[in-house]
Amino acid sequence: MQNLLSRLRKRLRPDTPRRGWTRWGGVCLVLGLGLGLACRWESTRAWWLERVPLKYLEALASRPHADAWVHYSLGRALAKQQRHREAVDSFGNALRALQQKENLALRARVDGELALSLVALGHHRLAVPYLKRALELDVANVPAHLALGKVLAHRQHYTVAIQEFRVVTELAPHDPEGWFALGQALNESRQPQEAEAPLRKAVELAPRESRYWLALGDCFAYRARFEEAVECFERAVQVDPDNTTAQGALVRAQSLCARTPEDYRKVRPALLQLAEKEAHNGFFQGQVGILEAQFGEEAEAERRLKLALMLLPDYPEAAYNLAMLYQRQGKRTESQRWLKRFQYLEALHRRISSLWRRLSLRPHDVELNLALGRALEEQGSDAEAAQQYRYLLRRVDPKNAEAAARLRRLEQRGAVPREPGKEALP
Amino acid sequence: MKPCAGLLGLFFLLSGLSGCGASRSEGTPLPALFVDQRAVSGVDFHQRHNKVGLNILETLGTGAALCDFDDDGYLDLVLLGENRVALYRGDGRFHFQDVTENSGLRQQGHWHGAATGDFDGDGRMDLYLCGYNCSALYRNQGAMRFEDVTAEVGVDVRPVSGTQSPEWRTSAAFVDVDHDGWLDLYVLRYVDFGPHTPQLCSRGEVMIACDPQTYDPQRGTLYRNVGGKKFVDETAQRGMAEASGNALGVACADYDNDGWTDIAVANDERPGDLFRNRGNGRFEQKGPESGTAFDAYGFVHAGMGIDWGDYDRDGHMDLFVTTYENEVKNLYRNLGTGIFADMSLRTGIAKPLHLWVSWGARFLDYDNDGWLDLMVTSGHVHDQAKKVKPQTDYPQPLILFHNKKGQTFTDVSAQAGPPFQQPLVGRALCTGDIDNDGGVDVVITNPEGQPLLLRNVTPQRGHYLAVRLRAPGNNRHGIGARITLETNQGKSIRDVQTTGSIFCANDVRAHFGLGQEDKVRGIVVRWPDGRTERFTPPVVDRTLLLHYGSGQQLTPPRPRTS
Repeated sequence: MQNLLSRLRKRLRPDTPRRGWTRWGGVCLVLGLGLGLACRWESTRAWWLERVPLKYLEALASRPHADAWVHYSLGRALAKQQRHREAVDSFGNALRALQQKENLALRARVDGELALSLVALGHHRLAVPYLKRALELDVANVPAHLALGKVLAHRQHYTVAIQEFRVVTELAPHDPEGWFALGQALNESRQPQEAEAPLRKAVELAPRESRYWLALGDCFAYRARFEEAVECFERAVQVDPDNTTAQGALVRAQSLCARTPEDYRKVRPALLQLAEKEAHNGFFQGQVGILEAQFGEEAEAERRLKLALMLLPDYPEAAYNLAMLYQRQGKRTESQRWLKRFQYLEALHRRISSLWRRLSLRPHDVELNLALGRALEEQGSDAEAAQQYRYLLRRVDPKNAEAAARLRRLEQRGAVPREPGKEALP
Repeated sequence: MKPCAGLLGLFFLLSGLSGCGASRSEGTPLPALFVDQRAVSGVDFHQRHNKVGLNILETLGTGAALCDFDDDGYLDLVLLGENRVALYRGDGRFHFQDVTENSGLRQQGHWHGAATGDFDGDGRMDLYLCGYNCSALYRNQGAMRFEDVTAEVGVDVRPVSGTQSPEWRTSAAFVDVDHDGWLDLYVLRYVDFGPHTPQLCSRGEVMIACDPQTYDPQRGTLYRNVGGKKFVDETAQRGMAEASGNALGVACADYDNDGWTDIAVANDERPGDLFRNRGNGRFEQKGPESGTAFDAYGFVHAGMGIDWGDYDRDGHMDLFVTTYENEVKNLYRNLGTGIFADMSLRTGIAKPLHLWVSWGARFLDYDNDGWLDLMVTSGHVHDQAKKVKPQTDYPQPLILFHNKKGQTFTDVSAQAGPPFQQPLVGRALCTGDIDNDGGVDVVITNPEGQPLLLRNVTPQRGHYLAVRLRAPGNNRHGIGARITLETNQGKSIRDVQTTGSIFCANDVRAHFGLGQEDKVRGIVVRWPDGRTERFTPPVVDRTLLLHYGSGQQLTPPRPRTS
């Protein structure tokens, strides 16, 4: 060490010829390093903050002068843990902190992530202004593209949603969420064959994510490849034993694999055990009931289907199967009762679906918009009905008295929260 | 160790055997079951849409009819298209002569469906054609000439006024609903589509046909035949106003074995209709409560083709309905109590058909083993299907299922011959024994090419018996009669009908495969008037003509009600 210092001292000695440029070089180097670090400070900090455990981030964010980066990082960490409500608060804090300091890059990031969390919470329309701003600031903003795709998929504009998700997978090929969203949109738009590849990619990148296995299983089930679907649903349950949706899907796929009563007898004990565990899950009870009915276990089927309809009164599949069960038993009055209920629910569902299709062709048709709002209200989807009325009042007919009255009634009833302005999609 | 070694030995032995089998089947291809005879048949009916981006009208496709119009014992052929109708006279050797020119058949119109039946009681099969804003009822004058009596008898389409959409008739069925001896006519309608409704819908950058939910439904009409001279609309009086609409395919049979013909209708994206004949031609809607209106879970499907057949030989007519891609094609087993159970998954039909947009389908016993097999043709509705979904396509495969004793169906398309390896835009699928060789042949229409004329060349077919009826009165072909064939192996039933599949009129003869049985214990015919008679045919492998009153009477005709 001493040797090294003395050699350095010698080199910097002023009387030595050819030493001047070396000294200035050293100074420049130090200055350059400092300047570089200052320029990269934001990303260096972000990199470090991403690796800070959540509890320390929470502590940092609770300090009065915590800056936007800290709030943003905390929001991301919370969103990763699916704690979207708290994540939205953190992103909101980040935006407030950013008002004091202009940082467009960070603002774009925060807007994108906030939009994504709002979408995850089901506030699709609230997310629109944020994702719009994020994309204006940064056209390659991955969370904003993802959120936009999800909003479009929610509105059943699957083709454009799929395009958005493809952009996400190109921008962030190692992010499983993009592949998953793409696969799910393909599944929902009745293209399960195409959904297989992106969903396989998603489970390859994140094999511990139950949702991805579930979606892959769905993609097989839609194509009647029930054996493969069962494998995927089993993985989903293995990864997350508390995932009741995966359990229900597994039951259903197993039932569809069961070709004979003998096959069914094999899976039945496990099913009944699960059904007891999920005694308050109407959907699950209904699935088990349908299975029992199909394999002639009529008493058990009746019990399960009744329970399912008690827990979920608007469950058309259960109503239909209960009606068919009574029909087979010759109980005509009961059968007619449940059949009527089923037909009502089914016709309502079909009407809504038809109205959506027609609206996609004539989005400014006042009558269609109103009809859809009324149908959604009738279905009990108050939030969606309110959205529909708001859309009608803002974009189609601001003076529509019926829409205004219906919206007011929904808001007064407390069925839907009052919502700030709805924005158009970018 | 010993059992393990034994098991291993058995495994290797089985592996070796299966290997031998594989190499043998690769070396010598199995003989085909069907061959396409179109090129040598004299039929030239090429169709093609010379545009990209078809609207819903252009996607629907066209039909055909197989019927012996000139009563020479050989099936003739009618093919329908856009502004084109062709009539071919068959010679029983798969040769057809184009006799359209002097036939009197109108060309102009966007034709879809055909129905055959003797509406005027002169003993000759008449022809009804329908389509988009067009309808034509032809009285058969003999010698392959027809007289257009549409307006005269009152089955023409209504004139279009204002912004109203024209009538869109898709299929039709001749059926004697009230057993008065005159064949009535049930006409299906599809949706309200016209110049004032959306033509194309966008799917990303591609413009394709809008789906049927975009349009309001049109509903069918039941015309009662008044003395063979007039048809009167009695839809509401007969309880058929409750039809769901969006109808494409129709099939008639007596599903509840009460002696009255019932009507099943496949509806596109709406619940299927099952009209049960309560007697005297009044109907009640039984679709939802019978379990045939929806799939096993209660979901609506896009019903297209439809056919009746007792696939499990339990004495009850079962129902098969084809649907859209990624939907289960439903095989409803008749439990005999007015209720049906969806057996598509259990029987193995669901999987091979799941991806396809399936249209025409018929139960047929192609190998004459006594069990009804199933053939299904598919083809996408969207000509740009590949652009919308890269893994699908406009042409799709033709599929043949072999019935394994009423328990399961096996996809045998791979062995069935070259037509099954070449995808096509299939629509109507009509059946009949064109060459009278005892094997059921098939005609499939194709809106993007030539039709397929599939000759049944299945090797080692079983024995068979084909039955024609000669009934008294005006319904001489005995449409609506039930034929039960008894052999040592059990019973088989067929209803005498020309309906089934989609846009189709089929051979009126009832065809029975007998397998190895070369003797028939008896044939019981329940005539449309309710009288049952027993016949004892001396030989098999031929077409029998059974006359009313020439058999041993089992029950007398039912008394006439007013």
